[in-house]
Amino acid sequence: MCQSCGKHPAIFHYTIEAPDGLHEIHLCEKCIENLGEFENELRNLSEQLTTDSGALQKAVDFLLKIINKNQPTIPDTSPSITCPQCQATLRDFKNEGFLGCPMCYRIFAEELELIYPRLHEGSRSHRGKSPKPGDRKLRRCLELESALARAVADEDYEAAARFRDQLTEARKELSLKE
Amino acid sequence: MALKLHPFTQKLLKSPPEWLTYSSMIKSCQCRFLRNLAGFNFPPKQDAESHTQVLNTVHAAANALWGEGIVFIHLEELSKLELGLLIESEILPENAKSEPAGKGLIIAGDYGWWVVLNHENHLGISATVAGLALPDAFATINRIDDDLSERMDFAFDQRLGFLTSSPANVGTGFNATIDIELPALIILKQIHRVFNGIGTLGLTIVNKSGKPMPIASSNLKISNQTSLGVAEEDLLDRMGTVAEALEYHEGNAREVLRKEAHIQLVDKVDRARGILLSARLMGTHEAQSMLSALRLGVEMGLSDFPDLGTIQSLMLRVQPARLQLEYGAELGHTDREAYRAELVRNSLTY
Repeated sequence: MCQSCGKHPAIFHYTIEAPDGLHEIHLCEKCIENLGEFENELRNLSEQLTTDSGALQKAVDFLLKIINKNQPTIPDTSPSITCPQCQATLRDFKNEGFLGCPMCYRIFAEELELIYPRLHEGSRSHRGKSPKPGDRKLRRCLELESALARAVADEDYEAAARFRDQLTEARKELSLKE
Repeated sequence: MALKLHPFTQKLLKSPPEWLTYSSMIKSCQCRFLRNLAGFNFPPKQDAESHTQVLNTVHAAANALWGEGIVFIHLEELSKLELGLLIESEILPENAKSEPAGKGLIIAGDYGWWVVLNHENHLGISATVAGLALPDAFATINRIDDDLSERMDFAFDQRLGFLTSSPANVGTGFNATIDIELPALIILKQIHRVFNGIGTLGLTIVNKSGKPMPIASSNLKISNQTSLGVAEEDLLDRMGTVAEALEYHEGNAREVLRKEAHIQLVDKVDRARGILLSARLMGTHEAQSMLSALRLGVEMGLSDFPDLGTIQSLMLRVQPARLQLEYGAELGHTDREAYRAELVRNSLTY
């Protein structure tokens, strides 16, 4: 997750070696663009870096200063949706940049649909390789995940509990296939 | 006190893979598939028990498929220095050092491919090859991916493709990286134009390991940003074309240097040689920058000493984990810099 805005997945990852250890910096595309006003300064610094190792510290200080200026702005009110499979919330995703489980893709679909085009050149659907066909157990698992997600959305907790039990069974089946 | 090393680390120390020792403008290509097992939480949300379940599932499948041909390692069995060596060898990702518990590695005995387990995603299936040979690396991981997928179910959605812990990798879960040296474009300050051009193609250019800044070193990695809506083969074509174009532009830039800035070029190369031969303390980044300048001189025929193999070998050996493991003990910051400078001086003295 971007350390600057805390909103978008980071796509630039820098590790800076400084006298006091390694500094990791993760920024999203948008925030990199917003660094434009500092661009000349950054470029001058980066040119010095090849010849003057003292500039390393300056670069670290400089980048950290920019990043500290834009501390993550996570909304105060946590969205109430929780993934029934892994208990992840939207806030977890915003904080950590990771979804909790495959089902999160359905539970947080609305939010994620906004992100895909920005991350993937406007694209919203897959092209390319698929797993080999005939994965009966996989299909069973996916169907149950859908059914569980639907039941939770409909607040039909009795059905949700039933699907959850069935899913637990199906997951047991999903280990090694000899 | 002598360090006790895992047999695999000993081997990696003694005989590094070809992609690390190969010296060329395009040093290596890596392809990687990220996969997750259906029905399990992704690793960041996994408990210890299901970490173990995933490790056991994949390990059992790999044993059935490849038996003696593979090595399985629990990352928590390795010391920080050993993990560092695997990171420097580009087998583990940069941030794998921090929490090794529950993570694993399955690697072919000939380094031909490997699978990192429970690091952000359940499986990271990777292969690296020396030179510009992306299709070869892809063919390898594609075969491993097919073999594994017959024995386990990967999390997959008909519309979104393979589901990964970060939506930045959803779709193909495919990542390709080209490791390239562009010193002349850096010297001529044309690298920013390259940087901008590549961005428009959905690719990104980053410094090797991101150290210390993406555009400060001549060693760069080009990697795809997009995994949704772009088929694997299309991405490979796109990256192959970009790599060839970069080779062409770097070649032109070297000609410009030779014709229009010959004295500056000789100055840069000889200064680097002077520092490498005289310094008593040297950091990793400085050593690699100077070695890179020296290599440019040798590649452009300004000098025939040392040979490219020696330079590439030093590039590897000045890295902190390998340096200390070869020394045989952990070293403090100053001792490490002193030993590095000594190693470089000794290797480059006639």
